[in-house]
Amino acid sequence: MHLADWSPVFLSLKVALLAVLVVCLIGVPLARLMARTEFHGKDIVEAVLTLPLVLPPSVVGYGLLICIGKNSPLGQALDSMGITLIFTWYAAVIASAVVAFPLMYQSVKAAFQSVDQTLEDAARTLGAGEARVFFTVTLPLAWAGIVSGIVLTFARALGEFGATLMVAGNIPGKTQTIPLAIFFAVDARDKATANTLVFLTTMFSFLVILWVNTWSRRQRKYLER
Amino acid sequence: MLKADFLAKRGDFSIEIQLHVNREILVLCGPSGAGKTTILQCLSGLLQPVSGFIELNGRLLFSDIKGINLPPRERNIGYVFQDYALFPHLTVRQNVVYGIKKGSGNSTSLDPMELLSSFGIDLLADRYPGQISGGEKQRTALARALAAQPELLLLDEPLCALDKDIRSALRFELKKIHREWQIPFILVTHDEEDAAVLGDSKMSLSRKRAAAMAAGS
Repeated sequence: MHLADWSPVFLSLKVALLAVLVVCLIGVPLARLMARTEFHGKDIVEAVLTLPLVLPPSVVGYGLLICIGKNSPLGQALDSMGITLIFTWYAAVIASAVVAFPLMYQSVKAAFQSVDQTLEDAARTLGAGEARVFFTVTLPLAWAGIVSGIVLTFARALGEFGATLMVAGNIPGKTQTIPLAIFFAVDARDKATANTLVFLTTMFSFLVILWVNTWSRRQRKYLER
Repeated sequence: MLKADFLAKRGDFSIEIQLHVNREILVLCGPSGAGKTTILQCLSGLLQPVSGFIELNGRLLFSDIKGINLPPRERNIGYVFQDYALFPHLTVRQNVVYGIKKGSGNSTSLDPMELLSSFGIDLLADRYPGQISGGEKQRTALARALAAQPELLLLDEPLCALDKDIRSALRFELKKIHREWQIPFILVTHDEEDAAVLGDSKMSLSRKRAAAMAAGS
């Protein structure tokens, strides 16, 4: 097993981890909010939030090009500050985050909804403020769902291909993540590189899932009698 | 002392009640659907009444005229929930100490272990709620609510999930705890026997009519 260039591996990990972080920071508070509020048009908002999961990644990529491309208002505003997103690894993070977001949102929302509201009320009557209620009751009880959201998001971000190719391109050493490297290695009949990357990705994904499954079972030991 | 006079709505159901409770056990008795839990939720601040006022030891907790509605955490009212609502991910000890106020130097803070042993649950301190019996859960819930040193304790059907023999033992214990703590208890039940044994005063709620009757001395 030999790999001439390890940069796709490190870049993929960096992009996927950052995407998970971004998705967590936006997805968890949003899921918490949506799990406990009702308003007109909630179904529409929910549908929009889930859309990136069902759309073909090329459609998401095209949409991102329109939103953050050089000719978009946002792209031009960033350009005047000397920031370019398109064809950088930042764009790969954005693409991965957008595509993986619904997975985090859906599982975290379901986890929050499964937490008995009476327990939150009990904490309130015991003098806890909303932050303490969240961090000592809601979050620990929803933790299994949040972890599964993180794993799904990470897996999806790691495998992101279509949208990433459109907004970040395929620049070896700069924006070439594992899925892109595999595609172009196969395209160039570089079987050795493709084999190694495929093997690494499969093993890594397997170990992550195995670890999370074992870990989450141990975390919920308190439910055992 | 609790003084309250308010109107509450839950869905298309509304209830009006006047309460005047000193250091006694007031039993609210009535069939399910009579609004007993709604009253407790209003007192604790989990549900906002439509109008009226709630005053505890001279402190105004709710008043629609003055625009006051303190959140539950500022009311200092203990609440023992019908299904106990113990935190399943915390041990008995962690449950009981959850509401103990820290850092307030003036008030004598309670010793958690002493509290646990006074409720007979000191040997269960490191167990989780899923590992203890119904009666033990009830004691834990009581200890947890009282550990926060409330000025009023609300109990929602505290005995209804228990077996008959534990039930009568706990009834007696509740009386004893009430004597020790010297605060008003408001207890909700649909069981006439509980009401007769526990209540210093009793208020009956019926499903149809909104009860409006002063209780207590």
